Amino acid sequence: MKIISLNIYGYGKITETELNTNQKFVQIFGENEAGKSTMQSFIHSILFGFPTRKEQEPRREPRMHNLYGGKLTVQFPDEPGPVEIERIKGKVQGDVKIYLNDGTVRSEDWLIKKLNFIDKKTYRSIFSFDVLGLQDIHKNMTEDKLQEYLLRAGALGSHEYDEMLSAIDAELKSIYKKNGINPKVNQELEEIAGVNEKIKKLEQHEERYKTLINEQSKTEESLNAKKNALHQLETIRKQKMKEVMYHSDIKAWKSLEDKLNIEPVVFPEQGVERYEGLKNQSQQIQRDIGLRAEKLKSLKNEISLIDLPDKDHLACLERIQKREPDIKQKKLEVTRLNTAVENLEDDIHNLQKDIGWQQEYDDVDDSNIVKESVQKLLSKLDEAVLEEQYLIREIDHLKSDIRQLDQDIEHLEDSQIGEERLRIKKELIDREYELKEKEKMFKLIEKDYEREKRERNKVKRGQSILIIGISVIALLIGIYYLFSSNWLMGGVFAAIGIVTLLLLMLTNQKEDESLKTDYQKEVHELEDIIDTIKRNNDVDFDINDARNLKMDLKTQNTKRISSNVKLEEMKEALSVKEALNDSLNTDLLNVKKNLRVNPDIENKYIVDAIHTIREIKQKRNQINRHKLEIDNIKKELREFKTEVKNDISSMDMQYDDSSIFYDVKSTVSKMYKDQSHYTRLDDQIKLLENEINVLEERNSVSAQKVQKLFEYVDAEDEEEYYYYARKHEEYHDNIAKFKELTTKLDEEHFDYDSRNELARFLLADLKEEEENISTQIEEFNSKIQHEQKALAEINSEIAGLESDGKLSELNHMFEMRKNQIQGLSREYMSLNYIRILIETHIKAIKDERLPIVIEEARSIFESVTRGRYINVIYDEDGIKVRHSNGQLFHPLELSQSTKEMLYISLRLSLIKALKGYYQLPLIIDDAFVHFDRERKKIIMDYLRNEVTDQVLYFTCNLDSSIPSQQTIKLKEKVK
Amino acid sequence: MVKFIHCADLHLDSPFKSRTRMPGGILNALMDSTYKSVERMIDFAIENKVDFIVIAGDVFDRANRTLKSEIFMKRQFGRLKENGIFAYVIHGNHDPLTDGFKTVWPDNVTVFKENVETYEMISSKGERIFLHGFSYFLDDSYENKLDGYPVNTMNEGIHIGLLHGTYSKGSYRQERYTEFNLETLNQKLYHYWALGHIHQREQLSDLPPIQYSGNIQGRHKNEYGEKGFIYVKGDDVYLDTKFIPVQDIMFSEYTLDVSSLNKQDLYQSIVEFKHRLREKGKQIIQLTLYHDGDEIISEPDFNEVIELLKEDERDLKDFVWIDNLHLKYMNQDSIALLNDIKASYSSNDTLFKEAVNSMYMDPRLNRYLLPIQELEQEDLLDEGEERLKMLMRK
Repeated sequence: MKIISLNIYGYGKITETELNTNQKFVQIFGENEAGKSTMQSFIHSILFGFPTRKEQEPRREPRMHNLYGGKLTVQFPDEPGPVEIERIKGKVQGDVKIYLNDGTVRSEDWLIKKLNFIDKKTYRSIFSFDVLGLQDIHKNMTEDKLQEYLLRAGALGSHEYDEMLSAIDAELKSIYKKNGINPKVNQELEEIAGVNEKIKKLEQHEERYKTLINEQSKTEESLNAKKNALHQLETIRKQKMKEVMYHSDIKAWKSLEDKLNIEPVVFPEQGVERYEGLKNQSQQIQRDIGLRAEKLKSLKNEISLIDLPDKDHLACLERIQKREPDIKQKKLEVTRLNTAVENLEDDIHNLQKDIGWQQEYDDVDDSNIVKESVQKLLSKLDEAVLEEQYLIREIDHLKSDIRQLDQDIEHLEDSQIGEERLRIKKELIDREYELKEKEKMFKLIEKDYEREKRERNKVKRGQSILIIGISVIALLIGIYYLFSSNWLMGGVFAAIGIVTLLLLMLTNQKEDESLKTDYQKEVHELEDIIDTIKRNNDVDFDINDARNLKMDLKTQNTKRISSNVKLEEMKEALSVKEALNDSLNTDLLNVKKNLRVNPDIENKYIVDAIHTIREIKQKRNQINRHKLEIDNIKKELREFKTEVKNDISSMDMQYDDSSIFYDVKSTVSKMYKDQSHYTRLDDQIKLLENEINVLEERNSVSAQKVQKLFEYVDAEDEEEYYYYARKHEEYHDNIAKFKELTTKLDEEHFDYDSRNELARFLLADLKEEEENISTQIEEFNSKIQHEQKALAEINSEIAGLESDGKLSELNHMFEMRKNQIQGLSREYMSLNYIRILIETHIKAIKDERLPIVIEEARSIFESVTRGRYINVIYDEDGIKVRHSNGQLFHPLELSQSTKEMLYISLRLSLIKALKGYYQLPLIIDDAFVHFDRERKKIIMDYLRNEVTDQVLYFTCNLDSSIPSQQTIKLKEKVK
Repeated sequence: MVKFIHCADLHLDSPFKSRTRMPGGILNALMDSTYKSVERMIDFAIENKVDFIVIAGDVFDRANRTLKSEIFMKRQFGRLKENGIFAYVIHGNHDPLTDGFKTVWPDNVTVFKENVETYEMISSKGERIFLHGFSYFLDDSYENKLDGYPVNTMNEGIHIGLLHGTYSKGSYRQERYTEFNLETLNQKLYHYWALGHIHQREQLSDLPPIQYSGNIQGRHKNEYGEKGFIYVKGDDVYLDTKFIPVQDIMFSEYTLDVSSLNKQDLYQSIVEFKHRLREKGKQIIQLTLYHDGDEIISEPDFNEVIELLKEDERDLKDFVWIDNLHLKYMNQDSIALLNDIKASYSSNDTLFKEAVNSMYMDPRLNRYLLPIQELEQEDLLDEGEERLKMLMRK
């Protein structure tokens, strides 16, 4: 590959620079800081990418602008035309575009392939030479390094084999060692063996499960058999216990059966009760009869003590008793009448007081005639008094009216107006009327005059304007003439103007207005007259009012005269009435005297007094009637008393006025009581006698019945009868008991035979049997318990095994570890495989490629040293060279320049050896500073003539032997 | 209408294959997961009142056939019995008849013997159902017993075939026991074929339904996705099938793009990712991270992140356990000088054997390793390169 030209857009401090390098050998000269290193870096970057962070190199992005990158134009040996490689800023390593000659564009992949996957580092270490690299050849050019470079040929990537191998080795050692302990796999193996062991144990343990299951079923079977036997024994024991329990009953049953084996005993139904009932009954009857006989005797005694009363006496007494209310009534009547008389006397006395009587006057006339005459008088008197009062009132009225009228008249006389003043007033009114008429006239005349005046003024204005116009024109003409020195004409016209003006002034004098002023004067005169009248007289009143006042005065005077006449008449009528009144009063006084009443009594009460007198008379009559009645009653009472005294004398009784009736009453009641007591006793005696008869009859009947009962059992007496009764009862009790036992035993399943048989046994025998059975049961029970315990153990063991998931867990662990081992092994094997491959590869290279390279190096070294050194050898100690005199030298023993020569020779031979893989330009960065002129010439010649690849030689010492067309001078320092 | 459940490959208590060490909680969840999924299936059967369930082999796992699993199964069968549900079981290569039972099943369970047998049952609705099948006597069967299945000539009732075997056209990793083809099965004129042995659910035919129900709980990363049983409903004309997932722990694979390889950022983005997954229940996942930048992360840092992530899941109920965390750099092809080596020597078997023999020649170790023929040279090379890249990034 040959670089034809460089086009730097911007890289480091170089911007927009273009270099043509289309030569096989190019010397690029520049002073320090001219940009030589930048340019080398640029070439590397364009071909292999901009420096990344990992690399030690600066990225050289321009500081001043944004263009980063550039373009290389190169010529590949297998491409028909030049190819442009452009790399600009983009991703970290820059974006690449390849422009082929035929116009197609390719990507970076194409370039990488084209460069045969060489990377930047490898390129630098093979194709770039600098002064530092030349100095330590023994370090940089060891056999390993050489191999390394050889190995890298054709591969991509930057790692070194030994680095890889050592990493792999370390890793492998940590994973597995055949007899190790610590590596992972070995540890896992250790652990998995442990797990395996445990699994084996547990598996054996689980094998036991089957035997356990067998045991379980066996034990269960025997257990069931034993349980059955136990159950049977239990039933037998229960039977025995029952027999023991009922043994006494069975015995009793047996004895009863024997007892009842006789003829049945007879006895009347309810025999004892019936006999005893009858016995009691007859005893009771005997007692009753005794009691009744006793009572009968006492009653008979009692009745003999009572005597019956006489019937006539009783009748007489009853008659007296009947009259009691009548007598009592009469006595009360007497008392009442006496009280009435007293009351009436009191009333009379009171009434006398009312009318002023000291005593009663029976002869006073109180007839209706007197009464009516009094009433008439009274009415007349009332009438007279009323009329009198009316008249007095009227008189008073008239007197006050007359007084009022006098006052009015006086007032009216004061307000009258004089005759003189009335006259003046009339004259004033006339004058004022005249004035009004004249003013009206004056106004009409004034109006006509004003209209006329306006017409005249109009005409006059027209005239004066015309005259002023003429006079002005005349004046102007006059002035004109005066100015034009025409004095004559000027004077004429000026005079005309002045004259006309004067004329106008004269005609405009004021006209006289004589008519108007005359009228005005007249009016003023009238007004003056009116004013003077007003001033001299008081005329401030209405003439009509004055007239009315006069009329009023006249009417009031007439009224006063008529009132005075009326008053006189009234006074006369009043005196007549007073006389009539006096005569009436005298008549009434006479009446009072006749009635013998107090004369001071008022007239209006006279009628009432008459009524009172009448009442007194009436009451006196009533008193007389009452007194007569009292006398009659008292007579009757006396009669009754004598009668009764006669009647009771025969009956051994005293008469007392106050207690007679009470005595009679008590005697009567005693008589009645005695009578009724007697009758009652008599009845009781009869009843008792009957009862006694009935009881005796019944007693005989019960005696017969008792006899019948005795006959039924063929008993002689009561003792025997009771013996038979007891016998019968005993028999029946036994039967009941026997029946009860039979049912009880039947229910407990004891049949007839077993009963008979058991009755023969003794209780102690039975108990012994039961005990035997019990011990047997206990034995069985303990056996069963034992077996159950064993079964439970087996069951728990089975459950333990069933619930134990340990084996499964261990199996999981085992698999897990197995997986781990497999994984680790795989890792180990894969790495081991890689290791083996690498080692094989290295060996192959050592054997095949290295001798060729060394032979080439030898030939180059011999050539550039002009035959002074004839061989290059690699042995265990490293590189050695053989001098033409046969001596071997280590590079450290060589001179500096020879050493550098050796290095260059080796590198060039390497490049030659790798020619099949890479054909790239060599970049030499001032590598030959230690060479003298001759050596430099030799190496330069060699580079220029022998090396087939393009060489870019960067230097700060211009080699003038190189043609200028192969030289580029970086003259200016790039900013 | 008849209702039944078809399941297979319960692999009760089967050990899980994981390369990481797990904390106790997750380990316990893993160990319980097969049990839990079976319990869920039984719950479903009881709840939906199915007539019977069919288990097409491999109830137990050869690697962990313990008493625990048998007692568990006995109890579950007991639950079915209480609810009047029958169970028909054939044994497969993982639990052949000869391995023997330590316990006795309840009487609602019917186990097919080593020769083809037919059982008849009457469903709750009165349909007659005929079940045909056989169990493996030893851990593999010597002869193909398909000819022993009777042909349905009666045209009466519903016929169901139970078979533990391998579909001849399938490319499964399992051992190829009792290979069959659809033609043979169709010739039997059955209404349903309940297949077992293949752990990946697959419907081989629609009419009649011939399906693998797959296993009921995944056991390693290759058995990913939902796992469960098939719920069949219908009559002699048409049987409707529905897959019901019951797995307790799900295995899945995921990828995640990470923009930053900073230790904290990386950890954070994975935690967020896990948080999104968590609602789907317990999971064990393979996670591949893709980084499209020029950052790198050193191995110690990366391991630290892995440890942190593991620590996070220690006590969680719905854990998301990252079984394998793999980081891929999109931009760095790195050690490509190996390409040269690979190109020159990968075909050299002697070198491969030399690498592998170092371990297989160790008698203490080789018993735990996979059979040597299962190792793929290329896979090993890739893994090694990957591992080396990681090592070189220190």
